[in-house]
Amino acid sequence: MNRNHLSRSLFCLLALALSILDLNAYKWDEILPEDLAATECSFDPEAPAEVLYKQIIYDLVDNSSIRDAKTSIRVIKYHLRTKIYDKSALDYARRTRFWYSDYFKASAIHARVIKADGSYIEIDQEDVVTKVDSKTKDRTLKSTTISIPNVEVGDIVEYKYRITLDEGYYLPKDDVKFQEEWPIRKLHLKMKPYIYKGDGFKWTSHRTNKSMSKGKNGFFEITLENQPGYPEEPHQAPDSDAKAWFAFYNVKSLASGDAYWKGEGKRLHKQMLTQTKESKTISAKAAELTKGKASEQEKLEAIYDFCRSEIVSLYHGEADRLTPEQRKEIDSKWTASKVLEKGFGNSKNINTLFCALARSAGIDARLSHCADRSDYSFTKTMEEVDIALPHTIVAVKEESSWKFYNPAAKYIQFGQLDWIHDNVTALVPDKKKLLLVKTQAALPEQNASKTNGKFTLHENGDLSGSIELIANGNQGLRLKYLLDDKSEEDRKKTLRKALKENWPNAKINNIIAQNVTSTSEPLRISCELTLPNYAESVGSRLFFQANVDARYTEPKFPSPTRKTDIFFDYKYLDESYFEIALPEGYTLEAPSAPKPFIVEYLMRYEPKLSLKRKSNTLVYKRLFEFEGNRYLERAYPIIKNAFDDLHTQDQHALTLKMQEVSTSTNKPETGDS
Amino acid sequence: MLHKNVFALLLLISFSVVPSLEAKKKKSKLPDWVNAALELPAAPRHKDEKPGYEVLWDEAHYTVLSNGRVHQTVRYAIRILDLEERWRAKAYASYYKSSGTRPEISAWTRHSDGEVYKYKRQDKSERSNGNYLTLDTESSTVTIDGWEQTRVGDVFAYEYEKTQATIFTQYYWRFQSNCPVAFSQISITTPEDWTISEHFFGEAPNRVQSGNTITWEATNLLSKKSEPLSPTSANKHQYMIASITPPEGSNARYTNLILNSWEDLAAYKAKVSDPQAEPTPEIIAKANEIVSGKDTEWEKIQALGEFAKSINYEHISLELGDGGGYTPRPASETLRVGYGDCKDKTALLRALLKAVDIDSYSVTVNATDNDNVEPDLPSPSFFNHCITAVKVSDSVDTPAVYEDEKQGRLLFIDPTWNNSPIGEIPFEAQGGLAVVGSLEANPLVKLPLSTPEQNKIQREILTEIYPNGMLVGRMETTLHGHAAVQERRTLNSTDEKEYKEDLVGRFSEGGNPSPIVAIIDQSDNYLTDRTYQKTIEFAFKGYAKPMRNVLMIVKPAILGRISKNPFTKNQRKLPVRLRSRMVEEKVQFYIPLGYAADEFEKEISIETDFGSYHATTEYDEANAQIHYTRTFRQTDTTIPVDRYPELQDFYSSVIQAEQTPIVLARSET
Repeated sequence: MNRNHLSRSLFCLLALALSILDLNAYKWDEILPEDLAATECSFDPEAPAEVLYKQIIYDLVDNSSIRDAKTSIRVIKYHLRTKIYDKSALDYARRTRFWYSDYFKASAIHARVIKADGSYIEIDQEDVVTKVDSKTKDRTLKSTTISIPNVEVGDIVEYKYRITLDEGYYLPKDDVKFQEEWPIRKLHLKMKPYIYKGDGFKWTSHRTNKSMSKGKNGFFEITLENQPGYPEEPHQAPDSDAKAWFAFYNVKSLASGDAYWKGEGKRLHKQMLTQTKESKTISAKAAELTKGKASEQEKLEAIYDFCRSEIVSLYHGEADRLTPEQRKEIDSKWTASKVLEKGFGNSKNINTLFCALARSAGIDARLSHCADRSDYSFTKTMEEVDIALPHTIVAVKEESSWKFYNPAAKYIQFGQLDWIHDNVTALVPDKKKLLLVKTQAALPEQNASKTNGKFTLHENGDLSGSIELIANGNQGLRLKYLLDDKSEEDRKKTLRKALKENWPNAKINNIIAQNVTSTSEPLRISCELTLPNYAESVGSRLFFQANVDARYTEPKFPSPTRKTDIFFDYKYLDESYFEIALPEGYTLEAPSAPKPFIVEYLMRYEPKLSLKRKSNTLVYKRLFEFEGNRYLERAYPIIKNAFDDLHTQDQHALTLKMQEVSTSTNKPETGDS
Repeated sequence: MLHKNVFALLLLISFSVVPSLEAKKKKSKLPDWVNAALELPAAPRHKDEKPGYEVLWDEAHYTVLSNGRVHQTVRYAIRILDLEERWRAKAYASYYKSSGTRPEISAWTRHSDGEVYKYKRQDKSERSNGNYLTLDTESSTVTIDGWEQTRVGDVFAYEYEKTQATIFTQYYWRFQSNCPVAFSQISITTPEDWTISEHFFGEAPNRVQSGNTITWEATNLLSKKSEPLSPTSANKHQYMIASITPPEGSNARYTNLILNSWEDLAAYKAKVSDPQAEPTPEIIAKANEIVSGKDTEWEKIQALGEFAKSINYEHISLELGDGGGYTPRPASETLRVGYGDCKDKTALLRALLKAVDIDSYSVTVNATDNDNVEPDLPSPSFFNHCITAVKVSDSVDTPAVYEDEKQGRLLFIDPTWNNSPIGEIPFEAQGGLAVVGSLEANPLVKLPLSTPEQNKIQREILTEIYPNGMLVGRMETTLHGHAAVQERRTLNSTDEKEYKEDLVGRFSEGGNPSPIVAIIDQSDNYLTDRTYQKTIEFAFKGYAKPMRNVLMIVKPAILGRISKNPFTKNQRKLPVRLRSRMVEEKVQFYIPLGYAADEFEKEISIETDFGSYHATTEYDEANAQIHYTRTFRQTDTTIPVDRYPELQDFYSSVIQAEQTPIVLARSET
């Protein structure tokens, strides 16, 4: 063999070696030149980053080594490619961490950062760190972190990995978010259903009008494009309701549409009959509670009050009277008799008892399933009662309609619902008919609060006096939930903190909270208040605000623009009455009153100012009725303007001038007394 | 006979069944020490104090073995007095996986009725320690959560044992707590001829020596609660640090970290850091690439420092028993993987500097508390961060330069805090004590403290008031030092929309309605004079309040009005630590035609040795203008308790001054 031949051979060997190495190198997809060059997201130019491509594949791998019927293993494959447009996205983009339980395994992890010129730096497998985050007897949680170096604005970060479920496990349900903080240019979801032991498979999506279609090799697929980002903004609807998502789940029945819901109504009716079966104890209790009550409403109210005040709820009030053993013992499947015997239970238990006692008293009451307003609105396509209608309340037939009750909401008055069940869809179980009904919506006056205050404005600008808040309905409910588990001392601490948030520089004394655990009386909170520098002074003048409550409030919606829908928990009515004794020797100068206004379907604002001349006392009255519900983002300018106006009127200031140099004896615009 | 046998058999069965039934009903017993804890009288309280919990028993025993391993036993019991505090019914036992055994932990809840619940294996869990920035750690904690079982009046108690190999020879023990403590004890047993030195803070505990075991004990301790803005040095609970020294010639002397002086700690830092900061060919190539085109010493240091900052921060804590928390990875490795924690970044920076013939040291600091170090007690426990000290010539002059006879002229650089430019030390660490990892004497230095002027917010505003109360204007802001850093933090953690919203939020503070804000210009002079500048145009609807077209009320302090008094509590037990702050503002108002300034405060002056406030208002009638200036300045100082009322009054006066309006009156009536 001559030298040239040897050189050629060596060269060929080298080329072969390099090609083998190249074959073993990970094969990444090509990146489009326009993606490398892009400096902003085409459909959301303000976004700091854009997910160019997101793919999730729910695959099944056959494994004939398993002896029983479960011969497929679930493998979930992730692929994400993100372009960075702004440095605010760098911290988030340069590391990825995902968590999984010990019956999952992470593998095939590849990551790289692609520079603007198309070159890329790949992460070594050995630099990917997996660790155990936590461990209990039943479960281990692991995390894998990929730290991607040298990421700069203009780069693209890409990674892939897969999670494999252990043999013998399967995923009965899962969901995929279609919307994240950053916009997604293309999202591709592929799913191979896994039917376990004869169950069916269903899927549903939310806030997208695209549907899943059958693809190749047993996959179902959906592709979405240009999904907008979902930024955080104040007063947003709950994520599960506002954002787009996809969910799949194994089911017992493949019935669909009305047929599904009717079938569920029938099934739940049968279940209700078992759970609310009349026993001796139930009928005796019902008779005892309804004795002497003439009307159905009176009977129902007596039963309602018994259930919410005598049955210890797992969640509220005397919940800590329950021992850990009792808490563990609670079972949603308890019959009404069992609940009555035990004297405690969860929300479903309390409603089961209420329903049974009402039925025993001859009232058509049904144990119904309803949506949760703090989670997501009902959609018929989510054909899984436990997900779509997760809560249990009681429907009572009243003439031709249904009215709903929830005695598990301990502090809400009879006839009203707590806000998470207000105006939501409920499935009323029935043997024959499909009854999907809306629960009643509270009126603002059912969630009312009254604030009364008596103050003195001192010449140095300080304001001192006392104030009392009386809260009903959901306003009272929220505060009672916050306070009922606390000791007297802790209640005062909690209230002091809340009061300080409203009046940051205040000196607060003698805080009293009454009726915190009462199921019949509204919550009353009172205290003594001194607000230093309440009025501003210059020369011979003092400037102050009549609305003591709103002295330090900030505008509710300062941002000029909005991207997401606006959501308010419930309607309410606030009334205020303040008397402010003015300092001696001072009179009002050029007084004017704040202006009332109405914004239809949103708010009604009625302030009134008057002066008691004899006592030189200013009287301020305010009525604010809020119809707030849920509004599309395009209504934001109206909502913002309304709240800005409210803020301006609430901050309405008056001028006092020392009497000896007084230039005006004008009356205020509204009458005096 | 059969009947008798059956009877006998029945008896036998019943005797064997009944005891086992009784065995099942047998209550869990408490260990003797818990029973002893229950017998102790309640720890004392301050007048009117209603603690949410109290410590009945707090004990640790360390047995130091001559092979460098330490066996530890811990016992702890608390009584819950308020339901809000029952989350404290939790047992914790931490360990390092590479150098220690998993602690065996037992826990009980003894209910107020005497019933005892002993926690089972399924009640235990383990979690790795760290936070969202932790890439990897070997530090783990075994826990038992007693929240479910424990109620008011119940006692939660636990004990554990563990063995750990460690090079560290200091033991820290805190006797006092933020709740009453009935009994607190630490004891240490060493091999023959080892010595123990101790340092106390606060009252010295009772000390008893028996052979090679020394026990320190304190009982009936009042609680000590912190107060907001109190310096750490004033807030320290009664505690001690014990240092153990093996005899000369002992093998352990070479594996254990002996700390008798700050020089010992500095030498240890140098020993573990310097070899990791050696430049390799890759480091040299990188350094040369970075400094290419840079002529001056400052430019080179700045460029290399910025590169070290650009490396991803990932917290890694491994081999902790062997000092892994202080030993960086080799600089070449950090360069290769592109991430590291504070000590790794420091080692990388030092290697890059060395590659271009610039010397430096590794420096140990406390990044979050500049008042934590006890200068008379050499200990690594006071520190939590690593930065770099670069030897510089007179040509480098920035607020981060320090000079003394021993250490020479040093420029401190923190390669971890991305928003602090080279030339400035992060604000929270300024003024704190640091250990320079060199072999020079007096390695304990005080980091330079910036002045209020070096952290100033400077504003110039030109504005016009419209007859309908609208205010329109233009604001030019220059931020210095910490003020600039805070702005960068906001900018770098929010996208453009969020940043604008944050700006709008700041403008609407103080009840300013419907602000419209537009950023006209901004520049970050991070690499030059380190300031941050921006020009904003703004408008407020209804800013000036008209009173029936007769008067108009205007607050001249438009932005950042001081309205909340941080010192509203009537009494104070601890001093107050103030940090440098300064705001300097000039505003020029054009008032609406037909109006004149009717009432205003020409001058407000509030002067103390810790802070000052000056505001002036001048009316230029001829040009229908008002010129307003305000300057707020606060120094870095500690206010003692007896001067607390002065501090309250100062802030009260400032708030009043900031709210003081200007009254415009119609001049045509």
